[in-house]
Order: sequence, then structure tokens, then C-alpha cells
Amino acid sequence: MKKIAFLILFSVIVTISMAGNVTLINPLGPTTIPIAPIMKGVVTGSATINVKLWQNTDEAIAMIASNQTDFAVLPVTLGAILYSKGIKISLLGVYEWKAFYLVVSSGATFTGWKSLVGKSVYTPEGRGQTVDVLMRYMMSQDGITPDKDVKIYYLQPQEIVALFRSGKIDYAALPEPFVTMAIAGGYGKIALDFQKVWGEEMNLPDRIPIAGLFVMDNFAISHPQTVIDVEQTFERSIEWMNQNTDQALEISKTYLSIPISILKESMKRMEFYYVPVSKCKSDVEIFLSKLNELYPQGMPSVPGKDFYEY
Amino acid sequence: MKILFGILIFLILWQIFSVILNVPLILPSPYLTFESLYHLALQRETYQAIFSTVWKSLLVLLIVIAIGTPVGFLMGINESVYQIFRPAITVVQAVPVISWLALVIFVWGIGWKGPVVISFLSLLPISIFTTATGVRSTDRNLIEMAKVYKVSQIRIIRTIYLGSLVPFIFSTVEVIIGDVWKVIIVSEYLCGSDGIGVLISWARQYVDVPRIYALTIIAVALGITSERFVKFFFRKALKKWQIQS
Repeated sequence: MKKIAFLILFSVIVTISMAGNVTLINPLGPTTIPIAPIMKGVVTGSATINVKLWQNTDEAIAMIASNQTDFAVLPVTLGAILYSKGIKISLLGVYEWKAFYLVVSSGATFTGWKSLVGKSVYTPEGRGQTVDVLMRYMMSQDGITPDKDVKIYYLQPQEIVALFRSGKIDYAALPEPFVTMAIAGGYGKIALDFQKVWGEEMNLPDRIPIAGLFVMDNFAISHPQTVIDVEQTFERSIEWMNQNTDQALEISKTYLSIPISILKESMKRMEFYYVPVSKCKSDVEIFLSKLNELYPQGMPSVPGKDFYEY
Repeated sequence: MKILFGILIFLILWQIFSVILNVPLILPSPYLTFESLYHLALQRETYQAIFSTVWKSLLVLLIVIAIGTPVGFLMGINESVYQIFRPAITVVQAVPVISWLALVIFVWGIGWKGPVVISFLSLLPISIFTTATGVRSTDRNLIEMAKVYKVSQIRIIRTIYLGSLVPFIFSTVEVIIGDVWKVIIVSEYLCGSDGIGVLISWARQYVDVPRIYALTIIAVALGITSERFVKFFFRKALKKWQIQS
């Protein structure tokens, strides 16, 4: 009898704790630092957030498509692409605003895009990623034809860093922390802040909605309270990181293979602060519609209002 | 006829599996894929990419045969040469491409050279070992007999070994023709500036999964066609060659 009572009690406890258990997937890399306070239990909310780190987009897509997660931290562009492919996902807020820079090797100069005519720029992964589209846009604004006047080459960021430091590459458009990895030790300098130029062109603050917190619609509809709670915890985790950068780096160390000194330096050029979508919808809309206009293959359609609410 | 039936079974299985899985983002249905293939067929850049991949593959095939066969031949007829070369070639064979990717790009840059060098180094060991093994297994009785009749070493090499060289080249081509496409496409993906691998990389970038599968179909078609062609052509050529000698 006692045993049965114990079993019932035990299962009740398990069920209660299960209800407050949510899964969140987050990219591995510098974006791990803002979430590290949650992972290490420094910042907690009433729901227990189970964070899983993803390394490449395929992993994230597979987990989202197979409903293995409730929340996802994703590049805003990837979220919008998934939404356009019929995945029921909504943007809750944007939290990464600065990361992209043009670096120039110490032997080369940059005085506007025109000075790159006849030269080559390297940028990560492939055609259509954020900094590639931004760069193509800025080039054409300055009367330069990308691919024709200036060659654009795609390569893994690690390879770009290695070749930049060995003097083989003079110009690279990179996200942090690769910017710092490329120029650390006097191998080059930052020639252009993409956020600043973007802001000037668009008459917006100098920031780009790079990455945000997303929720799966079916989860959000059945757990509206939990969504609010997770959003608040997420925001507090970023705040904690901004106030205690050194400690945040220290507790992120176990997840990242990048040296702390590099991360610390690159954090100076990145900006993380949480803005709920209600306060930054126009930033996101302008950004996504510009991407769609410039590179429709990469961003086939601009997400409708369901993308911003569930 | 049987082949068509086989393809049909494959397509039905694919359809069933994609319906069961029901995640077009991971496995698109055959219909979606062929629709994407149709769009690809209308684009000029698709043909440019195919052309680029094809000529790179042919070039790799040519260099691999031109270097692999003589080296493999020397290793086959001389045991010391075999022992000296074997470790280095085994290392080249075992090292994963990504480990020396930066080195290749540093020396040859992005463009057609990088993918060609990577593919060449990946396939060279196969060519060398196929030839070496072939030479080593040349009919010992023939050689013994030649020795009994005091035929000079030079003549043995010329008539018996070199005489069996043609089949070695054929078998090398047969072995690597199926792999060369895969290797070229992967290396284009990693450090190319054009070709099917680059198109796959871009399609992946914007999560256009049907397009990835459609490009894969093109790659598979290239692989199967070239393999069939080589088998057919070589069987004929080999017959002719055997009659002549």
C-alpha cells in the first residue's frame, strides 16, 4: 500500500515538473554566451529551460521540422525562410544587433567600395547569407557591379581567417568572432561597420536584426503563460551577461573552443539586447523586404503578419 | 525495360517514405523535386555548372591515369619501390579533405584548381594501388617461362608487363569513374567557384531542399551515364585489343 502511494506521489511530482519543462535550441558560438546564464542556472524562471546547442543549420532545421523543440534562437533570415516553407514559427523578439564587419589586411587599403574594383572579397558559406546580400547592396549603391567589378568568393569562415592571416586574402566580410580572429595580433583592421552603413542608408539606428528568439506556434497556443515566462527569462539572461561580461565568458568556456581573449575582444563589437517584436517589427520588416528585393532566390517571400504573432 | 521498372519502384518507395515522414523540408516528394529539376532545366546557369563539373572531372580522370598508372606500374614490378612509396600514398588516402583544405586554397586559390587538386589527391591512391596490385598479380607462369627461356628483363617488361597495362588503365577508370563525380562535387562545395557543388552549397544556404535533391539527381545521372558509357566502350575496346595481341 505504501509503495503504491509513493508511486502515485512520485508520478504526480514528475508530471508537475514536466509541465514546466521546455526545450530551446540555440546556435553554438558567441551566441552561446547570452544563454549561458540560463544553462548554468544563474538566471532561472518558473519554467525549466532545457537548452540544446546546434552547430549547423541542418541540425536546427531537423529539430524544428520534427517538433523536437518549443523555442529556437535562430538568425532572423533563417526563421523567415523556414516560415516561408510552411513551418509554423513566430518571432518573439530580436536580441543580436551587431556582428558584421569588413576587414582589410594590414598591407591593403579601403576607401569606399570603388577602391575594390579589380579585387576580391571573401565571405562565409555561400551566396545569399546576410552579409553577402548587404555587401552586394552597398556595392550597387556605390555604382559597382558585384561579381564583375569586384569578385566575391565564398569559403568557410575558418578558412577565410587562416588565409587572411597568412596574407593570401586582403578583404573579407565576416561576422564576429571571425573578425577578431582574423585581425588579432595586427594582421589587419576593420574598414567598415555594416550596421552603421545599413542604418545610414535606411534612416534607421545603426543596427541589423541578426538573430532572435522564435517559438513554435503549436506550443505557444497551448502554453501562452510559459511563452511569456521564457521570454522574460531569456531577456534577463542577456541583461545578466551585459552586466557581468567577464563572468558570462567564464561560464561559457565549457561550451566554446574559441579562446576567451578573442571572445572578450569580439564581444566589444557585438551587441546583444532583447527587443520584443512589438518594438522592432519595422526593423525586421524593412530588413527582410530589402533582402527579398535584392535576392529573391534567398528570401523568396516577405513573411506576413503571422510571422510576428502566434 | 527492367531498368525502367527499377526506377519506378524507387520512385514509389521515395513517394511512400516522403508521405510517411511528411516533412518536405527534410525529404521533399518526388513531385516537388522534379518540379525543381524542371526549373533548373530552364536556367542557363545549370548548364554552365554541369559543363564546369564535367570538364573538371575529365581533367582529374586524365591526370590521375597519367600519373597513377606509371607510379603504380613501378611499384608493381619492384618490391622496394612499393615499400618506399606505400606509406606516403596510404597517408594521402587516409587524410580527410577538410584537414588540408586551407593548404590547398592557400596554394591554388578558389576556382577550378582547388577542386581539381583535392579530387586528384583523393583518387590518385586508388589508381596507384589498382595498377600496382594488377601488375603484382600478372601471370607469374608467363614470367617464369620467359625466364626459363632466358628472355631479357627489358623484353619481359615490354611484352608481358606493358602488354597487360591496357587492362590496368581500363580497370582504374572503371573503379574511379563512379567516384570522380562525388569527389569533384564535394570539393566544389568546399572551395569551388562554379559547378554543381557550388549550386548545392547555395541551395543549402537558403534551405531550398527540393533544389538540393534536383541537383543531386543531375549528379547521379552524370555518374550513371559515364559509368555505363565507360563499361560499354571498354568492353568493346578490350575485346579488340585481346584479338590483336
